[in-house]
Amino acid sequence: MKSDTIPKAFSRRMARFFRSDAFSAIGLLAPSLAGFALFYLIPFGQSVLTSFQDRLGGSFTLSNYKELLLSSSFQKAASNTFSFTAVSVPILVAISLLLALLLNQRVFIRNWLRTAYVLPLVVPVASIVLVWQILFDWNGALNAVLQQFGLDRQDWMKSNWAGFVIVLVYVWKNIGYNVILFLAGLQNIPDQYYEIANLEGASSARKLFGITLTYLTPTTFLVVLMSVLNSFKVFRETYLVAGAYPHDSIYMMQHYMNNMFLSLDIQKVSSAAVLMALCIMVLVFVLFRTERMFRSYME
Amino acid sequence: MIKGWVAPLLRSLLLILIASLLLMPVVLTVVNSFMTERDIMANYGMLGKTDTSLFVNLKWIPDWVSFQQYGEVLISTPKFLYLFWNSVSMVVPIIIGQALVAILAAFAFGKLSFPGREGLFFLYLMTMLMPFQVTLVPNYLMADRLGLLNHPGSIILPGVFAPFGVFLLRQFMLHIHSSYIEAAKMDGAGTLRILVSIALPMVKPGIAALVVLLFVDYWNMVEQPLIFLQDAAKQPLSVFLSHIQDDVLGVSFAVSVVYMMPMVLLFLSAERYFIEGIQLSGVKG
Amino acid sequence: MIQRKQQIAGIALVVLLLVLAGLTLFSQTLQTVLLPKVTTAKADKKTLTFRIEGSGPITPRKQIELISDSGWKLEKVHVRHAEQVKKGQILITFDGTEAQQQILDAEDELKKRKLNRELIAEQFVTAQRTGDEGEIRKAKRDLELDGLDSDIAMRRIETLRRDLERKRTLTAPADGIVTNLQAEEGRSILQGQPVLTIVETGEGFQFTFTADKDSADLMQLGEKVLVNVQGDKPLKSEGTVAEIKDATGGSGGGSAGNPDVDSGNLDGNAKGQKTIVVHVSGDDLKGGELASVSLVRPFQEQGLVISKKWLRKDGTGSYVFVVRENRSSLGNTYTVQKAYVNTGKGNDDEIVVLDGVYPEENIVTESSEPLQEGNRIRLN
Repeated sequence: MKSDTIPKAFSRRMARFFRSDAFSAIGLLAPSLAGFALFYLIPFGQSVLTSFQDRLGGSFTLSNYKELLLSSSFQKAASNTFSFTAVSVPILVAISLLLALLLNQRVFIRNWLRTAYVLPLVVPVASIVLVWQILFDWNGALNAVLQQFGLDRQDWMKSNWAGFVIVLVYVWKNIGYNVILFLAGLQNIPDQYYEIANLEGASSARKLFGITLTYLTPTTFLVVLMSVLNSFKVFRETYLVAGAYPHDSIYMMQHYMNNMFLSLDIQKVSSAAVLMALCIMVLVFVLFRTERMFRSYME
Repeated sequence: MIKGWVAPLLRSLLLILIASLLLMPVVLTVVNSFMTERDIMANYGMLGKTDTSLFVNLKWIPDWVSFQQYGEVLISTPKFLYLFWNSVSMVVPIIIGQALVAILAAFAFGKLSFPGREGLFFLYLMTMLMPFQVTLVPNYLMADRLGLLNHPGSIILPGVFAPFGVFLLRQFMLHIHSSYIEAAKMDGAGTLRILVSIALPMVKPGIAALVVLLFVDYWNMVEQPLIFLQDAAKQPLSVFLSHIQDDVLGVSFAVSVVYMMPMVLLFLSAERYFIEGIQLSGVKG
Repeated sequence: MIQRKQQIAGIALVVLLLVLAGLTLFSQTLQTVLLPKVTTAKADKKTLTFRIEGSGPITPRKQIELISDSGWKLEKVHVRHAEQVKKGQILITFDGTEAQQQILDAEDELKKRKLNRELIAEQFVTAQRTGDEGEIRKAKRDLELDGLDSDIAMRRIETLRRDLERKRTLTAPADGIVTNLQAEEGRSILQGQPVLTIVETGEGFQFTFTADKDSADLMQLGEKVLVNVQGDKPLKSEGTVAEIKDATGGSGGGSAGNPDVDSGNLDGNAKGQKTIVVHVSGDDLKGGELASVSLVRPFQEQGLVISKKWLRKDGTGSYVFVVRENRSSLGNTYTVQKAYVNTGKGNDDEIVVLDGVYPEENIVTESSEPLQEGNRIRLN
């Protein structure tokens, strides 16, 4: 009897399991999960391990991190990346917010304008590199203009101005993305809020700060997060405009990683990647936390 | 009345001005692609040279319209086209593969409940948020182990399993009302059946968005091929374009135009999905 | 409006991809149609050799012409043509009758003088006896004069005798071979005319030919060369270049060795021609055989060697089309470029290029269409 019930119960449970969501989910997730684990999770776990491993013996050590943090090129890359993000993200967010606000009002050919703002996002960086060079080269168009006004020309890409150029390129590239996000955010603000404000006779400024910007705050968090993440992609632009070893002021984390990669210094690359992942995680965590705090404050 | 008409016009003009600034590089590239090589060299040949006091001559209107560059690029030098198809042959498998894998997984994450769902999805999300500099390391290690280095597979496979598609399509899946699925379940439809006949038609815009976003992302990729593919002949156009300036300056505008055209056209033809995708994902672009 | 924009863009995308696909498929064909096809070769680094040929009759290096110095009739010829003779061997005996006659005459004269002397001696004795001082002195003087006269006559006879002895026979001055024998028994040979020639075999033979200066410059004095001799039986012999001198117009045997140069052009042009004397040794040689040399010499000018057919000419000079590879990241394209060359010497189909091309350069040898500077081409 007893020996009979157990398999029965087991098979019943099995049958239920086969029909359950969980079973289907395993089946559906299997391909994705397998590849994801193979190419992302497992090797990342490995590189975390590697980052703590001694170069020779494989014993646990923090020396990779120590070495990394003490390396001057890493410091330079990290501080450049940090300051670049700190400068470019506010600029980008401000400009795109402004554009979105303008675009959200009554304007002609709005759809065409939106297309125009988004277009830089889809234009391959490599296609446009040449234009940046034409503009910012030592013999470039910008210097030609400066010369005409009797000003000294600058070697834009090989001086501290390089950072400025990169910020410009970054803003050019990402403005459309943020405009889309802000526009979506703006359209999610219920019209009644404005109608009520109008009834109350609120000023435009009050409406802007009281309603628009306030209710846009969750979107802004998202925009900031995305802008920061996108700011890491600016390597592509810098690499294409200035090559693997650009001017000091635009030597970014990405250059560092790239060059470490090419020299096959896996330990260093791994530790740098782990550090970077940690920073991102902290950033995401902080942003989500503040957003949640903000939300509970709103309610 | 007039006031209500003037303000939008001024706003429009301001926005148009900004838009034209933003479009300037693209327009310049397109316009210059119709110049002759000789004109290009005359106007821009001094780029990167320190031994000359000449400045580039920013030309907005070519002296005469010429298709010489295009002829050179598309007909006389087959290598350009090979590289173009290199790009295509990496991007298309990634898009198709990721879409297929992601549809399945997104349905599971979006519409099925199973233990550990949230935790697992959080892993996907965090990985997706990582800059490629971080994900490049695991990608590289695995490609190395699998012997895929210097093979397009080293780019395609991580691309197929990138978490972005799962995330984006899950966002779309979440919008499917559960009552549809419940109803289908009542009728005795299996999970796969529900996925194919109910969820799939409803997330079509999501798939379209995914295709466009992935295309933009991978058509543009520079870093992965730069690191994974040592062989210049295997690299996509994007990498190649990065060192185009010196030796083939005369035709580089046409090259750039041909390279950006598929993306621009795809974007224009699927702009709605593209924007919807960005709005729903709020991530990646 | 928006819908329409999207449609147009979508169609344009499809068309673009189709056009690109078509171009990719046909790019090879298009190239074939559009570009001239060329075949190329590289310049050879080999040493271009040059053939020097020349021939001339073999002549002895040293021969002695024996001359008749008497004009006498030949009494006996002891040798035949081409006979080997030894030094001192009597070759020819002349008929000395005339000289003997003279000697006899002179002897008779002397006898007459002896008789006359007796008379003078008697006169002297008579004069002494008379004691006449004047008579005695005169007789004494007569006696002395006569003595002198007979001394002279005796010496003359002696001379004639020696002369006869010397001129009677002709002896070989050295070992050698008799050639050019003019003598015939019974005939006389005029004084100063050659009787025969002795070829000194011990001193060897030589032959001479002319060659243009260029080929002559490739030879060195004292250089050993192989000589083919076509005599009664062909034989090979070793020769030595003994002399290279400017040819005096038209002289010198043999023919110019350079097939490249039109010899008529340079004939008499002393600057262009050199006479080369080659000494040949060999016991079997007699002289008169036809000897020829055929030398293969490397050019002194060392350079790259190209085929003459590749050379083209224009107002500026000779040039070849070389293929320039334009390495660009878009793919390597090939164009042709004129490379003006300085040519050196050449033979029938090859020529030395002194400068203008490099060893690794691809030189156009053939093309499907006439080429011009800067033409894009397709390599075969």
